[in-house]
Amino acid sequence: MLKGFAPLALLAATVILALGWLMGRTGGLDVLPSETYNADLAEFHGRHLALLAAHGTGQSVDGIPVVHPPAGSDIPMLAKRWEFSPALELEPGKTYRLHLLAEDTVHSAAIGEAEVLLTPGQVRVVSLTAPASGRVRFQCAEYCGLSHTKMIGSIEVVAGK
Amino acid sequence: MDHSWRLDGLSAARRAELRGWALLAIGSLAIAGLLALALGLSRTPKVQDWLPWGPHFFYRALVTHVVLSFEVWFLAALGALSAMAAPPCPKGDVLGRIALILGSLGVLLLLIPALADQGEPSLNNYVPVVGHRLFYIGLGVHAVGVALACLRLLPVLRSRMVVPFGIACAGLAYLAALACFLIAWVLIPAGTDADLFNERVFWGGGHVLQLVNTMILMIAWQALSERHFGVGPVPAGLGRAGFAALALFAVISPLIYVVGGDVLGLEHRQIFTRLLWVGLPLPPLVMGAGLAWRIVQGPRDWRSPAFLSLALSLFVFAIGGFAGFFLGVADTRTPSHYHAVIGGVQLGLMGVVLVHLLPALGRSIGTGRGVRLQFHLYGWGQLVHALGFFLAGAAGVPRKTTGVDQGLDTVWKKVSMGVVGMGTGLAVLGGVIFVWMALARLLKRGEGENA
Repeated sequence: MLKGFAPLALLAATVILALGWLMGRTGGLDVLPSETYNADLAEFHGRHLALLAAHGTGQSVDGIPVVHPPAGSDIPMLAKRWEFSPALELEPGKTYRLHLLAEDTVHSAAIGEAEVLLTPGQVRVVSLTAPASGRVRFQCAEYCGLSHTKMIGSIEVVAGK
Repeated sequence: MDHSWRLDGLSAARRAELRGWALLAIGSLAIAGLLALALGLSRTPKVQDWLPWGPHFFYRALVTHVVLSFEVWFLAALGALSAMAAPPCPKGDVLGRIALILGSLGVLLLLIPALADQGEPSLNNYVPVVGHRLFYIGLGVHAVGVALACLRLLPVLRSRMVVPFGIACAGLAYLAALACFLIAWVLIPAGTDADLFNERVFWGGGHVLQLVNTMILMIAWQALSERHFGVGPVPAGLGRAGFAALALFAVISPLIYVVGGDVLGLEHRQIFTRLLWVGLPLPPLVMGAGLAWRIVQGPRDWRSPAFLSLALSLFVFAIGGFAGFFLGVADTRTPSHYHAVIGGVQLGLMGVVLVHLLPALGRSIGTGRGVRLQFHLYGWGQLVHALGFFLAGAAGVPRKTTGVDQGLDTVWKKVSMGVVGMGTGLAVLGGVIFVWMALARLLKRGEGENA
């Protein structure tokens, strides 16, 4: 009896799992919530440069300038092969709005365990609350060329500047 | 009723085709093995400083190594399995001959740009490519060849024997993977960035190919268990249900291109990632548990190639599967996982070649020291290799990099990557013995060709 039951149980479990998979009910919580708007690249570059001028610390991480924006501010961030700019210093526990724009091809921003896809021409706005200390894991998770695996952004939590 | 698989009475035409697929599979593995040695050395601290080649060689060699050892080896092996399982008929023999010619021609074509230093390498997932027209044509011609061989298997889906049924399911899953590649190719808009195109055209079908690879391992477990223990790892009905379960997931996969959103979107990518979590684990887990129980019960003959293949492939595959639950986003824990699971499949396939395929061609390998040594060196080497990658990845070493790009700035990272190099050396030695023994016997003109 067990011999007859086991194959049926395996097939029944497979059918349930397959239907769940097709209907997208087996996960999918790892998409980062975001707002979207269209942007002109030159205008976005202007905002990016203004941020560097206003809040740059004068330091850099692997050649990427570091900024320390005010708590709660909007931060224009450019993604291109194979870097995110600027590098960020955020204050612990404060919430920021990252405006992410891919400059050259499709990239993605994997922040913690969730991810948003970045398409040229479209800005994705995501909310980010800095942890109490340490660094926020932030990198591209969409293959974008030979050095894709090194496309890692720098977000460090720094108190009281 | 005895539903064990026997390979008696293959026709002369079928034996010639089988030998051809085996030569293509193992010949590709031989070239991939040489490249693996070069890759391992170029990632080993100190040693890499003395090598004459630079990062450009590394990437092109990596693409060629992966395509030969991951795609061609397994797909040509599927071609060989199809020659063993397809019903005997003259039309099937003709189809098999055409399939073999296309499969071999495709490999020759895709090697040309890589060897002639042409085209940009792309390290996209599953089927990395060299960006050259001949490479894509070669891949396509090879894929069509294997597809023709698999078409013969459709009537075998009615088989009561687990091994032929499993081979037919693997063939069906391969055809589904091919459908995914084609649909993606049609759906991706013209002018899409080359890196994004390569990633997404091979993404869905690449995942389905992992179901095929898993089925190849389960075919090996079933065939070798029947040979060594006299019975399969699990009752025949449960074994067939396991293959049917994997084939079901493969067959419905092309539907994702309809219900899974934009082919270039994030949802589409994540749905296929979940296929490996939802659709893949259960059947090999059930059959692997049954096999573990058989191994515990014995007899355990450590001189038998069938037993060595079963025990080591189960162990290495299980460790690799377990490591899959601890993956980082882009560090070397990912290659740690896939080198171990693919190493498990490889060990199973080595057993099938030595225990079933060569004897079916009238060529025997015996149970000498070299036979045993290849399993130990390859199996333990892959484990050491995977362990090193896992430790290095946990410390933050990025995957698919070499030289200074690895950022080996701590003793822990350096030692871990040194362990990777050591494991590579052991596994390559095991692979060399296997390739040498198998090729030597295949190249020798046996009785089968004169029949």
